[in-house]
Amino acid sequence: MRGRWGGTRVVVCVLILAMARGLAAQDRPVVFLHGLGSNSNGWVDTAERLRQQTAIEPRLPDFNWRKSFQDQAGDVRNRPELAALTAPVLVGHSNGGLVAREWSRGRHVDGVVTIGTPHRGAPLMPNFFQWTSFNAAAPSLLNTTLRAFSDWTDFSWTFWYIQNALNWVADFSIWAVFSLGTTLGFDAALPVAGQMHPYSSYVSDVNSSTNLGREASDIPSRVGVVSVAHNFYWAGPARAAVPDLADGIAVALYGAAFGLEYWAGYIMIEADPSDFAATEQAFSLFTVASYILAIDPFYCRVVSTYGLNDCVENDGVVPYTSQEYPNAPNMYIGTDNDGPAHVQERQRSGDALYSALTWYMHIPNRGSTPTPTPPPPSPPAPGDPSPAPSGGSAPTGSFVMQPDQVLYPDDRIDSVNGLYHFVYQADGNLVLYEENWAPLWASHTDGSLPGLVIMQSDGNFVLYDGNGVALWASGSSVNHPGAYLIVQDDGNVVIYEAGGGALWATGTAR
Amino acid sequence: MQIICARKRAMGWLVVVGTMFTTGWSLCGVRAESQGRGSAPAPPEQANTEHAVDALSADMTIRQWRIAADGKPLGADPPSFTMKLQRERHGQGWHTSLSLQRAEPPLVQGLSGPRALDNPFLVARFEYDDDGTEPKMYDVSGRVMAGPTEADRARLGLPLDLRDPSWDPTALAGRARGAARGAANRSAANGLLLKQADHSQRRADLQQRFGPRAGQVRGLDRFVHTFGPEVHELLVDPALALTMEMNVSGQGGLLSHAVFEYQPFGKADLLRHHAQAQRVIPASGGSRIVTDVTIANVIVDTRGGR
Repeated sequence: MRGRWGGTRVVVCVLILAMARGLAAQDRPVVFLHGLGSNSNGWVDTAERLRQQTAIEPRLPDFNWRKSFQDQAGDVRNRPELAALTAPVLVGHSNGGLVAREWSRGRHVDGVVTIGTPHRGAPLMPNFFQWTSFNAAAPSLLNTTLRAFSDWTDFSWTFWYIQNALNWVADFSIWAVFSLGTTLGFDAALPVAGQMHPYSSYVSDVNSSTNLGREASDIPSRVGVVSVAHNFYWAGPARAAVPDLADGIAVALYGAAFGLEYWAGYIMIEADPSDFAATEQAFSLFTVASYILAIDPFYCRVVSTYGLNDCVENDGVVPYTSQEYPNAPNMYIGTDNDGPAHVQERQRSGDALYSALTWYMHIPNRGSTPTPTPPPPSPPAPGDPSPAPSGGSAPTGSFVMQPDQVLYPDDRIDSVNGLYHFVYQADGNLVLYEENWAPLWASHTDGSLPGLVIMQSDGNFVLYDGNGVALWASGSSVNHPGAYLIVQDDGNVVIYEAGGGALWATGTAR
Repeated sequence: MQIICARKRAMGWLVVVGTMFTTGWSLCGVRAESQGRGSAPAPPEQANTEHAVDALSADMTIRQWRIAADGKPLGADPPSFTMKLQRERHGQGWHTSLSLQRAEPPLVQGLSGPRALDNPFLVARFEYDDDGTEPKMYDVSGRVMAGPTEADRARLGLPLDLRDPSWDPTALAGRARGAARGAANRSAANGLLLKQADHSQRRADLQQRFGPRAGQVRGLDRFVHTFGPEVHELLVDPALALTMEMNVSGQGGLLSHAVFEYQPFGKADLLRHHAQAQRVIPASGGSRIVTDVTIANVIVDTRGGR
């Protein structure tokens, strides 16, 4: 939620002063970065709890979230009080996670924790116009119903019982756009908005193999926190805007929809087929009910993919597939659809952030021996992209894809001898070429919307299109944590399990 | 027995209908036999419904989806569901219940792969007695629940100046309040079960509502009625006086289009077992919401007749 800038600054100053009194010499500086349409206020309570638990010195800057990620990062990291920090840990919520990654391009950081961050863009941003258009149909549909019932029939009395449902829908269709837009800051003109498009050059650049490689070498510790919101699907827009009220809104939404369906069915049963007006009344109710019941499926697609092709588990705003920090370990909360919604993540992810700071950032508990607790469990296979112990036997090098490593369009892996090239092409095809660039093997996915190819930590090597749909997979996903892929000097591309056994191959050995 | 159905013509949505529609929708009220259609579905439970019905049950399946102007699916469809209709005589009217039998769960891409979601907010049952008492709804746990109330509306907190100014059902709701709630002389399912022999009465009803027929379209009697800015058209089987198609035009185009199918039921009845309506979504470039209703497993109980 948006806060008030002046009030926030006062709160932050008071907090920092209070914290300063209790700082120990070894406390690690941790900078908490807010996201779109927000300010540092939302971090205050969580930062204080974490300060009490762990040896950290929280910093909570405010910055202009409307600017480009580069400008936001530049503004905040160059502030004298923050520029003086030699090795801070950055914790970024939502867009703040991308500000953190951007920060690391210009100044050394010791670690980055992201939570609910749209690493691969936020489809909601470019899809918001379609969401608006979807809701814009409601007033006309409602007036069609009003017109149908103004033709008096033996069933016009039912209007008394349906009026509240129709009134609620009339408000909801407007609220769902207005409330969401203002809550998330979509109502403002944002330079950053274009960068949040899943296919923006910014998203492509920040997740390029070049930048991911830089992050892997420059940032010692990285981790993403991924949340699937409680009942994320039901009354989806309310999960995003007012998650604490969302269950109640879902009751109203489905009460309205099914109430109208039932009354429509009642009229259908009773009305003589020649009673044109009554049948019109029934079908007008069916139509409004259909619109209401389409809200959740449509909103989920709006959040999930650019192109509205799929519904992906999400936190109300960002699909889990985008929240995952590429080429880094990820922690999952709400795997039973009971995690915090996007706007709750700063306040209600304390345990996960505690684990992130202690386990992944190696920050000791305050006043105790540095014995971090294990991180939360990872989700089950096969979609599990979380890190798994590899047994330490996997080879390393540019010819290897380690668990969770990703190929983006135009990325390639070359064999050590340089004769073979495994390329994820911009046309969506994954192709193995030999020395003279003659193709040896292909996934035959050319013409698809480019997305990424990932060596999943479950052992499966999967090509996802730009909508997140798996188009091709090696099928080697059954309980093979730590499996890795090698482009061999003999022209064969092989997936090996951690113990060394071959799981899959292109069968192109020369 | 003559089987009558309404179906899309092979040429799709390009047929100009009657004399009033020039949009790209087709109508399909045709006799099955004349189109070479296969045999009708197996008749449901046979029952002698020559006596008045005392109880009735049926399964009503509702599927809904959105299509673009060219008929292509738009996706993000609402779930289909089936409800069990049960009616029993109750005082001077009927006790009606509609119970959710099955609702299609949405399929989402989850952390662990594709998975279907159970809806904890389903309304599982609806009951209404034709005695003026309030209808009742129950959730999946059997708890009584209400549809949205004014309190729910207020909870959204929508500023009053943002409310749709064109939406004002107050007068209509006031008029509806206290009006008739069912009638004792209605059958269990006027809209579903029709006696073949009542064709004269049906034709008389049609003419009372619409006046004399206005010619024929594709062998079907055409009735036309003007309602405000809209024109209502009914296409009726001439022999049985059964409504096969309903169309509403206005604003320069076709606004809604519905077709109906019937099948024999018992010795002398017809069951309206299928209806499909398409309604234009205003200001959407011609996209439409399709509602498809199928009735099955109809069982009637005359309890010896009344």
